[in-house]
Amino acid sequence: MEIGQGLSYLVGGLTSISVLILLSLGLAIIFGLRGIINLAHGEFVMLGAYLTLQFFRWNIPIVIGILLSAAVMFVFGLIVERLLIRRLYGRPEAIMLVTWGLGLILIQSVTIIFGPTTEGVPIPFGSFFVGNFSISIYSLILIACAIASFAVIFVLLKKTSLGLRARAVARSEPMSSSLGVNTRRVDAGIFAAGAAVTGATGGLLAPFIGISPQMGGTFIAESFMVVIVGGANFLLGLPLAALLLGGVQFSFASFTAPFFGQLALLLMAMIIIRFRPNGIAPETSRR
Amino acid sequence: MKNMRLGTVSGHLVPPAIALVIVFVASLLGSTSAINTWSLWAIQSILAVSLVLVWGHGGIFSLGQTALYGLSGYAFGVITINFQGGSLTFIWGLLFGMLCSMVLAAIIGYFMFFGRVSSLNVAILTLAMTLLLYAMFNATADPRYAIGSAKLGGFNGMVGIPTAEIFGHMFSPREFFWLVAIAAIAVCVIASLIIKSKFGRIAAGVRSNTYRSELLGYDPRLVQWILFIIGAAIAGFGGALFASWGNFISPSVFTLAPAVVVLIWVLVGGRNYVWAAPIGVIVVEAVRRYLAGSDGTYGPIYLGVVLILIVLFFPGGLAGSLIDLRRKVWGKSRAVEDTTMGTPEELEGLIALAEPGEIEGKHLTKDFAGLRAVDDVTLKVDAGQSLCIIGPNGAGKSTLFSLFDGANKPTSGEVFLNGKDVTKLPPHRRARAGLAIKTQRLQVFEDLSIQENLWLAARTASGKDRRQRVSVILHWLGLSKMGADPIVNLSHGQQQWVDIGMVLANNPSVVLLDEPTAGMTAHETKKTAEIIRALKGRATVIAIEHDMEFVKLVNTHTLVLHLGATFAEGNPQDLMNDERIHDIYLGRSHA
Repeated sequence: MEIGQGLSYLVGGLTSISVLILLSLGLAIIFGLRGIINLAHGEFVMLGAYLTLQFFRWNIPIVIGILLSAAVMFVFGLIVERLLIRRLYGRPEAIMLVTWGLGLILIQSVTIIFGPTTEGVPIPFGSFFVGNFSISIYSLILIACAIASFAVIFVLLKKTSLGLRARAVARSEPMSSSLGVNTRRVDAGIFAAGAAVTGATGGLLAPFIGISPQMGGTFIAESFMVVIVGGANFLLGLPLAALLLGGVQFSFASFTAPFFGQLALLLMAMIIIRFRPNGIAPETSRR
Repeated sequence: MKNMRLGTVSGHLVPPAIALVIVFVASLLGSTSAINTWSLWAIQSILAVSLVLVWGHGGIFSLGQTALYGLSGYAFGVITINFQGGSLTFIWGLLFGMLCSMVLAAIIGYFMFFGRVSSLNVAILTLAMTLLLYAMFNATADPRYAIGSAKLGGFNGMVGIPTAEIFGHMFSPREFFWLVAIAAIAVCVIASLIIKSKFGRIAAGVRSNTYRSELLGYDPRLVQWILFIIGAAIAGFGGALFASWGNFISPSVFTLAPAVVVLIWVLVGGRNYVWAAPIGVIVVEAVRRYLAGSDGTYGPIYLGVVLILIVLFFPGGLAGSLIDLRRKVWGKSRAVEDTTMGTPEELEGLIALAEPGEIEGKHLTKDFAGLRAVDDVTLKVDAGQSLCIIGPNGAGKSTLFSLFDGANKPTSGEVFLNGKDVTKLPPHRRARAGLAIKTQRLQVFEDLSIQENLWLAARTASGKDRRQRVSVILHWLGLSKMGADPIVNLSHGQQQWVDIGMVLANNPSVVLLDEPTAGMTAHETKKTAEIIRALKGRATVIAIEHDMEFVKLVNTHTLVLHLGATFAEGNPQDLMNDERIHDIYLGRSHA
């Protein structure tokens, strides 16, 4: 194998793992800190992508477009939390159902507004060659973004008082409340932060993938697997799970066929879950 | 006991009879296109019933029923395309489809249930399984993905699946409607029978309180696994019929929308009612078709809104909420009568307990991350004897108890039950070896009736003996008239009694009681002590308490635990006079 081919495999593998991390991060924040699953997660990605597309059409530079999409999705997350999620804490199954309903509504609303066709944003920054193999600069940017956004979340959670409050509410809502933490605001903030990260991911991936109202459904299976296999302590579990599952899927898919990539991912996830039912990194010592 | 028996035969024939009449009339009145639609509804009802059984009855929040349905459709297609024209090909196709679904469910279920994955994770894993099947089957456009002459066909799916045919007779649309409608009714009947069966009741117990069902000697992992496979068989049956109905199957069955629609059908019908499933299908699908007729674009929005509204305002499902409402308005819950419980001596004459056994712990030690909670405790209770274990809070009583009941494994040391090493056995295996446990917290099956609670506990008896044992204990508890009432109608103290009644119904040779008098009045405490005294010679008992008064009342050999180790042993009177024991209870240091 010549160096260019090896390098392109490496970048390809790292890119798909980074995409997996980016796609799972928003879901993992909400799941890890509040124990709830947002089944409209894929649709939040889709909204982020469409927002970025719209900003792009208004000739706003893509980087700013992505940040604006994240901001819009933060506000959207606040609204969803206030209207739907807040009354259902402690009933994770109900939250799954409600967010699923929301997902259906979002898909169809976007279809009505933008039409059912697949749209695209051109990949910026071009690519360079190593030997005969081209490597897209945007891939490298995605990898950098995955690492950077992960680092930002890590610092926010571990080093700031905001993060301390979020972790306190995650551990014990009544205790935090009795210590004067406004748990409602923290709850809303966690959900909105998850939505913002997810929206930004949609924007980041917009140049990479076809943007269509149905696109959400195509990613979320892998994200769910990564989040569940990772466990509630997502700062540790998420990158490990993404590395394992993404790595397995990419290897099988590129050396055999996509069919076997999916199958390998499913089997790998099931085997890990059999022996670590609460994920690779479960919540540290809750009882 | 009226709710416990299979009831009158005629009562069970009403729903299928009504359904048959409706089907008959419909088949006469409908146009061919209407008949086709109704056939689909009948098939979808089968799918909905599988979710009622698995989720409503078994508490397994499976979002993977459409995966099992779709997989079976593909398997059915493979058989019927390859053996087209065979006289029984249709039947073999159905069976093979069901088999494939059951195998997939068995594999996935093994990992989920035997891995003890939480309910939420079951939902996510089954959904992810569905979506991954979508991705997999989508990637099969290449002609090399074919089994015999059946091409999987990628995004476009498998086409050319032959119409139903048995012994050379092609089913007309009307005949096919008859076939699937009767199949759906049969599935409803079978699901109702499963729910009423012994297995079905155990499954309800596992749903209601997994931990307690395990303490009573049931293996919840196995029960859920089997139920999930049964559900897969039903979903697979529907999926094969679906492939036959439409002459094709495509990966779109594995997408999110069909998976959520199944949930909506079941939620509208009410997830606890088998016969409500077809009603849910018909109501939801009829409205959806109406919307598609006027302006199809709003169909999904309608579904989303319906789902959100039901979850927010009718958590029990529409039909379920209506039934609850009716109960609230007409059948006001009976005020609890003043129960007069029988004496322990009465019980003696009524229940034949198993031979008393013996239990022994040898050098038991348990460490939690550097903290030694139990430190080299050795104790033995001979057959028919009782032992109280006391100690202040934090003495390690509950941890010691958990080593006996199996919730924790000791760091070192062994537990022997009737001479057999049970150190490594899970709780349900210990229960099967004759151990009955009352935990500190009330552990009952909250959404079941009092007699169902006792029935689940009377595991060792069967058939008539089992019902007999339930009614004896019910009578002894003074609750004969209320057996069919939900247990939550009782006061907390009364539920504690039922809990103790369940321990006795379990027919144990060794009884473990963890703070049996927690939250009881002085009178109730006295009564509990009497029961334990009455059990002397008939069952082996270990009771853990911190209440010295209770220990005095029981008046049996007593062990004082302090800092995880045996501090003193003897009869309560002597221990009460021991100054050192007062010291540890008051927190004074001692040499």
